[in-house]
Amino acid sequence: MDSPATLEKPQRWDSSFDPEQTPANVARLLATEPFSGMDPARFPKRTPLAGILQHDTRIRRFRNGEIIVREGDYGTSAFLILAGGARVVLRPSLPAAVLGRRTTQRKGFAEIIAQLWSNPRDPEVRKRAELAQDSRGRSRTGQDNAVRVFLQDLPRILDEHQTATMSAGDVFGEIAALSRTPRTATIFAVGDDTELLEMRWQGLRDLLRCDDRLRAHIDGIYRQRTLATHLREIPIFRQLKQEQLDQVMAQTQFTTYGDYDWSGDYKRLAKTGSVAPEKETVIAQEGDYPNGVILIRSGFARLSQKFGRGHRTLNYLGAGREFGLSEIAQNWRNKNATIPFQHTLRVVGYTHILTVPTAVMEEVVFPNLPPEMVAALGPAEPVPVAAPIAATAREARPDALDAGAKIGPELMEFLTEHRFFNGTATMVIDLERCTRCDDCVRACASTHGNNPRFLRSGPSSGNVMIANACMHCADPVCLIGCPTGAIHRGMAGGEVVINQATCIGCQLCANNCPYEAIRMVETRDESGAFRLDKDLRPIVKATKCDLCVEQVGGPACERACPHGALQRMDMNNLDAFANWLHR
Amino acid sequence: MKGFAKRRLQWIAALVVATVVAALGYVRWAEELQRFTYLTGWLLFALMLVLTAYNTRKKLPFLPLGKSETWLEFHIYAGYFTAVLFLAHVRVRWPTGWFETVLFLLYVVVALSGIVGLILTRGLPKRLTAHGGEVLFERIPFVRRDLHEKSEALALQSATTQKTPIIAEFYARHLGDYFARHRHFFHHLLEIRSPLNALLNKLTDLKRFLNTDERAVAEQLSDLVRQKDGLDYQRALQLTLRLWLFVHIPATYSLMLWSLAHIILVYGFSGGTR
Amino acid sequence: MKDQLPTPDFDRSQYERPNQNWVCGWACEGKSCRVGPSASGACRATFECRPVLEKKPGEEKGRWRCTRPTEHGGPCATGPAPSGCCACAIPKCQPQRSLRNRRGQLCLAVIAATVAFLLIGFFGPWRWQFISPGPVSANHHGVAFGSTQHTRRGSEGCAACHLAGAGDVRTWVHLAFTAQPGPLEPHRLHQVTVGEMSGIDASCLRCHAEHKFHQPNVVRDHSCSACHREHQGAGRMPAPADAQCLSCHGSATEMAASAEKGKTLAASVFDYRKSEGRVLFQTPRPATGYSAVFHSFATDHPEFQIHQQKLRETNTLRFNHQLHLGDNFTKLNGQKLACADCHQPDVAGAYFQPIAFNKHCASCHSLQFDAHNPELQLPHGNPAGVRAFLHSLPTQYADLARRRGTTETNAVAAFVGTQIRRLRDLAFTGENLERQVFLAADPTKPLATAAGPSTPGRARFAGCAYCHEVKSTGADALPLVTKPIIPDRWLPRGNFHHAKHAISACTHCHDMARSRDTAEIMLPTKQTCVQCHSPAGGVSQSCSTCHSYHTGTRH
Repeated sequence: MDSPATLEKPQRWDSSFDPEQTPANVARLLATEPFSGMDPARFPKRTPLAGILQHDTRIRRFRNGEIIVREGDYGTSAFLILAGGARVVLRPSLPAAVLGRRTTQRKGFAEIIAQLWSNPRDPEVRKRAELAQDSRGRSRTGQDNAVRVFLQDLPRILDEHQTATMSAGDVFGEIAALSRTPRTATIFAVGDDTELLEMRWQGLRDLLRCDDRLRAHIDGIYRQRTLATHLREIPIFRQLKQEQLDQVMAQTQFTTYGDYDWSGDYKRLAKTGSVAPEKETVIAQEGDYPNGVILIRSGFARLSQKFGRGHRTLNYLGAGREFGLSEIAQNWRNKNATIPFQHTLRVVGYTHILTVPTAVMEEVVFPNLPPEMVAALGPAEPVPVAAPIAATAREARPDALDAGAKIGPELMEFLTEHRFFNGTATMVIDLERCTRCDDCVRACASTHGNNPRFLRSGPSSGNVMIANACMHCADPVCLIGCPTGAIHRGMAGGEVVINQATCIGCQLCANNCPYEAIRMVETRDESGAFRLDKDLRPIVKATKCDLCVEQVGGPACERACPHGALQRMDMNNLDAFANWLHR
Repeated sequence: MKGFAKRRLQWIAALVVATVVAALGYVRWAEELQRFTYLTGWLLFALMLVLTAYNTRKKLPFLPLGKSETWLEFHIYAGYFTAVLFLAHVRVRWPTGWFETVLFLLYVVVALSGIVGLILTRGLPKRLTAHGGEVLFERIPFVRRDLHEKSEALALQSATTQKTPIIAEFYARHLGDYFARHRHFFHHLLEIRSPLNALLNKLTDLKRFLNTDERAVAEQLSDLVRQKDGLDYQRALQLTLRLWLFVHIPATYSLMLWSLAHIILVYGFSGGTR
Repeated sequence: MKDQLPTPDFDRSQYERPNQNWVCGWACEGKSCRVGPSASGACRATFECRPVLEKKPGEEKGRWRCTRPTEHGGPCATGPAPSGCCACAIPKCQPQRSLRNRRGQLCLAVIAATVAFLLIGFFGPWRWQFISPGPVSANHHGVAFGSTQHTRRGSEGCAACHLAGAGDVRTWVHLAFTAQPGPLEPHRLHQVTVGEMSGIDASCLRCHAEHKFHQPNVVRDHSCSACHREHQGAGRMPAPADAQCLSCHGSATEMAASAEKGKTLAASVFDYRKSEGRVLFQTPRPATGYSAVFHSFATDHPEFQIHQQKLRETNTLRFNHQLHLGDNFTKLNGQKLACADCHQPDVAGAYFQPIAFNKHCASCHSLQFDAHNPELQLPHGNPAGVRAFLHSLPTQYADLARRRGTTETNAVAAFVGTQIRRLRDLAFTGENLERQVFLAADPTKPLATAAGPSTPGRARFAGCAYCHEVKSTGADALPLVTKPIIPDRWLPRGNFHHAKHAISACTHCHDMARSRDTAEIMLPTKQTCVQCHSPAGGVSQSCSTCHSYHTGTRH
């Protein structure tokens, strides 16, 4: 670190989606819809259309019954059917077991008691039954070493489930890719020669930026499918009538900031020690004219305020939070004393936002709201422009300020640096209370077949340690790319769990996780010997905290801490965290 | 989530109320109620059983038996209360027989080790945290080995590349043993810095006989010495946090057995004594 | 917090498993193998991989390929041996118990040691000393007690009282479960057993026969052990605590019940006190018995019955303390009369020897009736003797003459004649003389004049009635001299030890200088006692200081 290291600046296409993508393929693609209809001149020099197709797409062939996207998966890419067909399972959804999910639900009382004696004494023992896959969805390793999952007994599935057919030219998966939301349906290939073009998210974003037709198309789908739901989540929009909401929806813009693979970038940056808020993309700048209400749809944004010569982080806004509403409401009520944005909103890693323009707010939304509701949104008295910003902001947003101030700038910086606000069940340990007794680890082991599922160690700042335990992220990057769907969100609580039967030990999730929360273990049989595959290599499985979904009473680690030092905290709620710090 | 202060206040209030009730009961009934000693004895035994059961609760984390934190709070304050009951039970007198003296001493050992343990569990974590160098207790030997290997490599490297064996000799005389074992348990426990300072001073003294390259090596060595000292500090304090239970828990089991024998004796020999 | 040491680097790719009982023996050296010890603590290390035989089609022998996974270094440089055996053997270790497991082992060891210690204690030769809750009091210990018929041999005397003392642990456990209330009935502990003597009381009663000798109207009996605590040290048994007495005497309900019960009993059953040769001052039993509710001597203990009911002494002897202790009252030797001149402590010093005429009165009150012949004195204590003496006066005078040395018959007769004549001058007749001797109480009367003047230290004899109650019963009949009865005990329900109170003067409690009348009882009031016997006075006010529960046998 002492020597002046010259790092080559990473380039957009340093790593291609498919290094074996041939120019012939690109040429073929350029001749097919919708690319043939695009105007290459509208693309910037750095990202030409052909470049996008060369580096950000790949052609994949699927066989009859092979699953293309799985309901509930997080994916980074959208698909275009080039040849053949696919079927989308509408309803009912395919059973979880078929999709490679863990189906074991909460244990019964007898099973819980039985853990007293039934836990294996050796570490990482997997019983044969635990590893048995559901026969209706079998994974096979293809020639290219990729794992492919096929649906068995297709006629029966078609019998029992309502499906829709898609054919060449259809695009699917783009909303999930762009808005980083789970796939809404399972799609499998029909016919052995189904050919799909998989476009990774970066390429899709660039295509949208430069092609109006595609953007209009995807915008249309997006508005039609999801926007209403998102807007209805915000109280003020809930008050509107349907036609008013339609007006708002028509005007709403949506934008994606940052990098989908932020965790990989973050890991690289953390190594070089160059993670700093000033380098993050600004969504809205403090002091600028409030041009719209910003609604965070997914990802995270940092709310900060100028303090001295730097920026003081006040809070993090996760999915469902809004920004700029109080300023716009204030301006609407006091037309002659308008105020600018009081805070700065920055992208942290990746953020997908909706923007409702100020004009729409003023013309459609505010006039149709009960006046007391508007009054509650912002300060009642006109605030002089010259008033100290901090004072205004404190009145406007006491909770946000309090949390940041109570936590303290150092700890806030620590949380940001390590992206801990992503966790919804982050294991926070108060080192001044923790006696290092390992009761939490032992409790974890007792509830997970004699295996701990976290490491009671991790980054710390002052007396706060964030242990290497799965935080069950709001934005679970580990879920991206799992070839068998073994890692997924639980059906009920949304906790991230791994199905040991379908995990193939590829380490993708463990490498993706920026928090070292997933560990690969060599499994053993009941006698304590390592389980080996046919090449005599140990069978490795990814393991992590599952938040004790199978147990009663919540996470055992938290209940087992004798000193109240360990807490699973939703770091999206900094108020709770601040209260915990000062408990 | 209630704050620590509020909960402590509630527990203390409960303890004070229980103590006052017990003391009033003692004053009122100790002489008059014929079986007062039996009552306090049973109460004490039942309470001690619950306190002992805390260890069992820790072994059953999968059962919804309430938070361990609540258990510990109860354990602490009910533990204080056993002292009140105990004093009432022995009628604030030193026991006279052999058997009862042992029982008395066992209780004192358990209660005192508990109080010492509580002081340790509240005090040492703060010191560990302030000192830093946090490492899992089980991984300490691995880190020590790593430091040992690094320091040995430095010494060997200096012996081969430099003409003078002064650093290697110094290493052999002062540092080899230091890195090979965990040292200065009590110094660390009592927060005495002299062993580290002495070693660092020796290294500083050595520097006047070294050239620039060797000084760099000596600097790296002092860095490793500091890390090793931090590691020993972690080990000393973490070990102490574990060791006090080596007294508290076995003594508790012994006390419970002895109490059981005491109950049998009392009933067997009472023949109805009041 | 910025001066915290950084966390050292260590391998984070593996879980730490503090729940495992065994750790690799190399772990304390800082390098453990990936296999790990078995659950029973055996080292399972073998080789780093299991080579696989690869045969290409047509090949006869094939090649062994190293299968060491990349996480553990990938295929090794040496490769498998030709025999197909991995060349990289993992060094074997002796697995160690984890620290936590060692704590468990220590617990087991301590439990085993405790059980062993208890068994040795219970079955060993010193078992009785081992289990004894403390030294037995002097009364229940030693050779004398050991030789009593109740002691069973071989149990250090425990069996004298304890049934369990006759057996070993099995007996103890058996007896424990037959105890009332038993060990599994703690809910019955708060109940008070009424009138029920327990097993161990039976042992007491073998020597201490007849337990029930408190007031007959007691409504709640106490087990012996309720008040008498044994095993409290080698000296005397400690006195019963006040609270035991107050459990009844401090309770209004108990006392009311007791008074009720007393009403149903015949008066005679209360007359149970043994006098044991002493004269007890008889106090009438109050209508409600002794059932006043009180809580301590100093505060609300009832006033002594003598003062409460203003009882008077019924003694017929006329004695004037004020006179005797007066300023111009001297003894023969010229000194003033002191209390101790008459009230002499008994052997124990607790009480006083009975007042006797010969010992305490005669030195001043000689029964000398003839001043001319002081040697001649009336006999005391027997009216018939007095009459006989008076009837034989001539003989007495003759006797006196001879004792004085007059041997000649005529001289003796002359002496007797002179004396009798002189007496006749005083009393005219022998009958009159006798009446005067018995009944005269006035020292100015002729008889008294004849008896000679009162001198310091000597009281003139004025006649029996001077001190005694003498009743004339008829012309010739012998007058009745009532025998004076001086009580030895004034407060028969309590004990008092005069010697222990020597620190204060007699008059501090007994204000005799004011007492002119025998009927006045000059006992101190309770208030006088409370001056010292109170928390303020600093002297014990416990019940057992004065009272004993067991006040005598009841028949």
